[in-house]
Amino acid sequence: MALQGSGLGLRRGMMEDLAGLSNQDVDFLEVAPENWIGVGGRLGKAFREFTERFPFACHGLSLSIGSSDKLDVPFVKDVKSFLDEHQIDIYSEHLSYCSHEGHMYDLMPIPFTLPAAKYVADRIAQVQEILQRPLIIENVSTYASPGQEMSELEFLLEVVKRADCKILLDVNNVYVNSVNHGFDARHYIQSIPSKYIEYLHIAGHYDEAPDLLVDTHGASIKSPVWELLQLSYDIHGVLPTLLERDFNFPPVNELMSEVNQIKHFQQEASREQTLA
Amino acid sequence: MNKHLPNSPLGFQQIQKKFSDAIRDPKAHSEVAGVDERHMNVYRELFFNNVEGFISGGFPVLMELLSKAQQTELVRDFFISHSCHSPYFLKISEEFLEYLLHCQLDFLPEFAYQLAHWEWMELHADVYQNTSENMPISKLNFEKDPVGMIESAWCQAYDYPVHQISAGNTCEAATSYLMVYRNQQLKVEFVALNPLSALLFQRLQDNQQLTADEILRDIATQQNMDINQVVQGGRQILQQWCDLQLLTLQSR
Repeated sequence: MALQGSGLGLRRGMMEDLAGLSNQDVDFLEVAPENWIGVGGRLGKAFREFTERFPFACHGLSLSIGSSDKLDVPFVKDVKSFLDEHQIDIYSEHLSYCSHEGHMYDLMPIPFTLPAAKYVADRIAQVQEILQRPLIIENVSTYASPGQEMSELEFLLEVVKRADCKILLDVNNVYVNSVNHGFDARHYIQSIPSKYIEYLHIAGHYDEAPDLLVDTHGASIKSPVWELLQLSYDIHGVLPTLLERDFNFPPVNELMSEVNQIKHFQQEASREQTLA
Repeated sequence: MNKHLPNSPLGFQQIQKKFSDAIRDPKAHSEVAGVDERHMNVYRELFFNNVEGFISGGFPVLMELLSKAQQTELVRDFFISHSCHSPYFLKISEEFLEYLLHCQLDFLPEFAYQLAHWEWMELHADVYQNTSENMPISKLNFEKDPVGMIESAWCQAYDYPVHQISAGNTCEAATSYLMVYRNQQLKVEFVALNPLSALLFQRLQDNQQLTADEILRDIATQQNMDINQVVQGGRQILQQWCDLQLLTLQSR
């Protein structure tokens, strides 16, 4: 089932607060499968209560698609079983790597080179084969570009064309990188062919310095990022959009006001597109 | 740009090696071509704080026994010297336990591994996923029922009373048998056991078809103890465990 409307990233720390949430509040939820595979007890029970009530997307963290380490095939198979068990069709991952001779549990920037793009595309194909589902690849925030031989945009499109996979476009990450690496965020979003984009992510970031933003998912969404979301709707149509909040959880009504803002922009864009 | 970066898979993988080394071990790997110190440090801090968060969240008692500088040294040593194989975040605690087994840092208390294991047990019991639907029994016939333990109960022998250790109370070595279980309300509890109860736990966990009384008589014979005394005392323990909903019926 394809996603629609507005979604919210579900974290363990917010589950109690969100127990009363309904389909009226949010259209879909998203979790990292790595946090829920093989988890029983009270957490497993609480998770099941959500999956029974909401459509879900999975947004992975540990696939390490760009890693030099061997692809963890048993893990990918575990992900498949998990997706099957909870009847989840959508599985996205980061265009990144989080392991080198072992897991490091956070995201590192793949050197933007043609051989790296080929290597990643081959691994995506391997994962799609096992999952029997498309792999949706997300543009990640970066603070450095080691070994760069092409632009981030060129790299992303090279990978996606070669692997014939979809993109999860994170508009906050586009904005963070546009500041960190000095490129035009609007041009980046305009240059991605609409047919590749499956859904969108939006989140807050932290301003470490005027030329250095850190993608923390721990603050409310800043206005330039909202503007990029609106731009994305104008160019690519109204796409399902998910709010990520991973730290400093605000009260539920504050989270919901950001979800409602997404809904508002979606309705606005949809109206304009109907009129046009 | 750099003669070490030929246009081959190996080229970008060499950069990845340097980059990941520079994150794990900043002292030994200070420079990565094309990345200045300020941006490298963003990665270093993000990664280190993330790992430190998992360790201090998973092992609060152990960490509290150490100074801030020691905590940092311990987490850094784990990050540098242990290669984590699990893609699962909840398993970082297990990776850390494995690391502690071989850890050489001399400021760690001698009970560090056992204390950490005890802290891990609580997490393990909390998130353990049952493999069967074997429900606990509410009434036990000592003479007839082939009895076993529920799946989500564990008994571990430690060389220290690890359950009593805190920042204000480190301890002398003394064998401690600790039972951890997850009750039917999915809450984790623990009970300190005496050696005989620990033995009984073990026998129940391994039991295929013996009745409660048969197991107790077996234990008495094996331990050269008075059969009636062991059966009487054992039945009391079993009744308590039954009341706590820890016993199941084994298929005979």
